[in-house]
Amino acid sequence: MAGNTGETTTLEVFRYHPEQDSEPRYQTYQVPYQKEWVVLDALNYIKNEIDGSLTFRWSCRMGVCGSCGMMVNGTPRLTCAAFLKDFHPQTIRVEPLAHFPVIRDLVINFDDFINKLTEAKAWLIPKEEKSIEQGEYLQTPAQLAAFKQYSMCINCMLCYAACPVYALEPAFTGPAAIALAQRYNMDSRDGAREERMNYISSDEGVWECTLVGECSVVCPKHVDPAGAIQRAKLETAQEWWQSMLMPWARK
Amino acid sequence: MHHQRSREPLWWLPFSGGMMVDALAIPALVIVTGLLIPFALVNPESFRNLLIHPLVRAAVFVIAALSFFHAAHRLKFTLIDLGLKDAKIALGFICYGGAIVGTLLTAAIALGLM
Amino acid sequence: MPSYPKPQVKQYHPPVKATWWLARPAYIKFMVRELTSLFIAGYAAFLVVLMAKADDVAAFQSIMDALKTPVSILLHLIVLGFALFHSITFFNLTPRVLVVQRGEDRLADAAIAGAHYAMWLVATLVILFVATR
Repeated sequence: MAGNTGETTTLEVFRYHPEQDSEPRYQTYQVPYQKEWVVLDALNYIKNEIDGSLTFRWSCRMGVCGSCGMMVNGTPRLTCAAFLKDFHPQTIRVEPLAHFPVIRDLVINFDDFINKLTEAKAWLIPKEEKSIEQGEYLQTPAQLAAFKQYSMCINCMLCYAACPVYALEPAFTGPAAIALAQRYNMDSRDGAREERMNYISSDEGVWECTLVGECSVVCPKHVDPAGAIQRAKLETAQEWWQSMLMPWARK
Repeated sequence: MHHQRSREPLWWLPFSGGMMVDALAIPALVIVTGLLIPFALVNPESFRNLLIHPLVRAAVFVIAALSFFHAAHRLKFTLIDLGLKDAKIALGFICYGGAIVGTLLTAAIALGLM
Repeated sequence: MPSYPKPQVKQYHPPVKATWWLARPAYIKFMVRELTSLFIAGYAAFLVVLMAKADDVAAFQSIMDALKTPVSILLHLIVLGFALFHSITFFNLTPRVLVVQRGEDRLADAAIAGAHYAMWLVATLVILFVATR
């Protein structure tokens, strides 16, 4: 088997089965150290060969679905993108994604994030409805370039796990929801900017952010939510001051 | 759900202004009072006359006022981040209140009233 | 869409410690960055005091004498370090906030940050020139 080194590597995994555990615990496993393996491979090996009760989410295993986000040695990572060779021979500690309630083992409750995406109206609300017969909504490459970076978000929530403000204040709208709101605000086809801006410029929106910046550091798709938030602050502050100093000017 | 836009831009504008002004002016000023004066590269008497000049006084006022609001805003959020989030409103009063007092004192000094 | 009661599970809520910022170097750097603003405001207050004493020749002179002491120079160097950290972190952030789109491309990060560094150079030279006149 290619990459089979004959060695093993150690994983220390967070376990929590609420029907029997009152507190979480850690369980240590030895998995084969395969040079091309990622942490997700190791977790699947554990589930398939050692301990079928280990529960975790995953899907595409190639960094596009956003399902396999977990804490790997204290850093939010996509486990399908965290290579064993970058940690071996050190023990790899795998924990559920930080700042979310834990349902079971490595599975978190992210209802809060989904609610925020809904409040942010993270979908296209066209300026003008077009029937099929009227044709497509046309967009130039330049118009696409305006929001493309923010459209790369895979909703993996690593940014929420990295954000200390979200840890302290769960009401904070958070990096991805704001970046996605901006993705649609900047889309030339969209017409719901006003509503989205009301949401992201509320007290729990962009103004909670103190630009720690870790969200952008951990983002696997280089969305730069921190940049999206600062740009939103600038835009929304300009609009606020305009409405204060020139209340007669309506958009 | 109806969402209300925050009043935070009221404090964010002087905070940003302070960020820019501090970044541009403070290093050079620290070099003047911290190194150039002690090493006699600045004439103390002409420096004193500079600090009487109305334009320089206006500049010092702007730098100081914006620096106070910048620090107040950061201090408020840092204290919230350190666990005092329930005291957010009180912290706002203390921090921005302090910045306002500092700004008023600076204005009085700049205008020669103190 | 099927309607079913959500499972009643005792979820684990990880606690947040007040010392969260010590857990990662990036968080510590963040805290230091925030605290630099206090040192800078303190220095600004010192400038205001200087301005207040400018009319009193004797008081001003004693401040000038105090500036020559090693303690003063050391304090200034500490403030200078914090001020430089503030300036550099801020200027390097500007390209992510001031996005200028030119067709499909953006104005280069170096251009945006560079413009700020250029302003910094001009401001520094003006201040040094006026002070040493």
